[in-house]
Amino acid sequence: MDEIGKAVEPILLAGKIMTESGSEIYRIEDTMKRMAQSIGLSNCHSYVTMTGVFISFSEPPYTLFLTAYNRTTDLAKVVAVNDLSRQLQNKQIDSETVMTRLQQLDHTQTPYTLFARLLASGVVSSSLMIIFGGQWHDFLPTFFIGMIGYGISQWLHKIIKINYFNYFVAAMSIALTTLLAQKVGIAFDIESIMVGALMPLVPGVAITNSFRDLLSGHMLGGVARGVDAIIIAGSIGSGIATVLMLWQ
Amino acid sequence: MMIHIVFSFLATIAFALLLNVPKKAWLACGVSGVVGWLVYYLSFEISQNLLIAYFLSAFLMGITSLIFARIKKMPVTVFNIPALVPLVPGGDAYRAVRYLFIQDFDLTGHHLMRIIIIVSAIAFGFMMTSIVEQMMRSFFNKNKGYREEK
Repeated sequence: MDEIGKAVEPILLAGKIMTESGSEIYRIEDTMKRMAQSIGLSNCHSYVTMTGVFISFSEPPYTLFLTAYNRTTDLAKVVAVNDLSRQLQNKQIDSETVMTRLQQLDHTQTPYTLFARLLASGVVSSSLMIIFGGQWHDFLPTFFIGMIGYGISQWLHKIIKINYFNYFVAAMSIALTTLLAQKVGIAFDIESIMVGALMPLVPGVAITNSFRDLLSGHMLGGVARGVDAIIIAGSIGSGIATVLMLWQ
Repeated sequence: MMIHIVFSFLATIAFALLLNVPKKAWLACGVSGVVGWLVYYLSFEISQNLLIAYFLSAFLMGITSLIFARIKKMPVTVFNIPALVPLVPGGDAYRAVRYLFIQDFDLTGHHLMRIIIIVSAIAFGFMMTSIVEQMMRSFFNKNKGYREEK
């Protein structure tokens, strides 16, 4: 029993890391199954929800599971786990190496500094504002307002552990700074500026993976992600709408 | 046109950085983003039909991502997620909620209907991509099995 339990540890951890980093459910179940097969556990089933990872066998300890509550978005981890499982399948590494690599991976943070991410969110905002039909003289204001919105959402997410609240406040700050900039006379087309500035907050992972999971028949994950996307969109919209209503 | 190519490329790559996509996948993400946005833009200019434009762009963007996933041996989502960002109906979503707040139900309905059309068109495009993906997979697996038998 201990043997299997130990052998399965890396599989569970891989599933947990993928769940927490924003992979699709079907990919996680598939990866876990393949890893199990490559270490010689043939008759095994994996079951993954958005908050937990299960795996079961036909002999003791029958079922093992890990919870996955700390959801972030880190596609580099998804790629890394994918590579590890591929290498394990091709017998290039053994399961102990996989375990140590996964443990390292579980504790790594994003390699980009906050400043780099802020700049990137500014680029997203202003370039999307331009291709959505905005005007060139709004380019710089959108850049900075997008940075402010993204920065506030990240900062609030760290200090207040309530989902969606950070989106609401970030959208409020986007609307407020846009209106102030218009008042001062440096921003003109406030509609397109606000649409551009909220684009870094868009739940891209939730939308894409919701489609992909629903299409592959994983109802739970797909519906959960879809609802997540709808609530995020609602909080952003109501944040902006609140400020616009109070301003008038 | 050049502006659309350059800025959809930049936006996609910047979003890829926010999602911490590995650096070696950035170029592919950018190209998928440009394909998605350009197909949407051109087909909307020609057809003036949201459904067709979003369907075509999601489908072709998905195929591009699929090809890159094969080449780079990475999950398809890595390319799909950043490339979808220019196509997400963020503006419509925010306007729908905003008009709901001032109780202008006509405009709320207008934007909600647009969101429903866009989202279903994208979903349908992804469905077509998944079909192609499955065909590719069975094709490749067949070849692999054949080689192993030999």
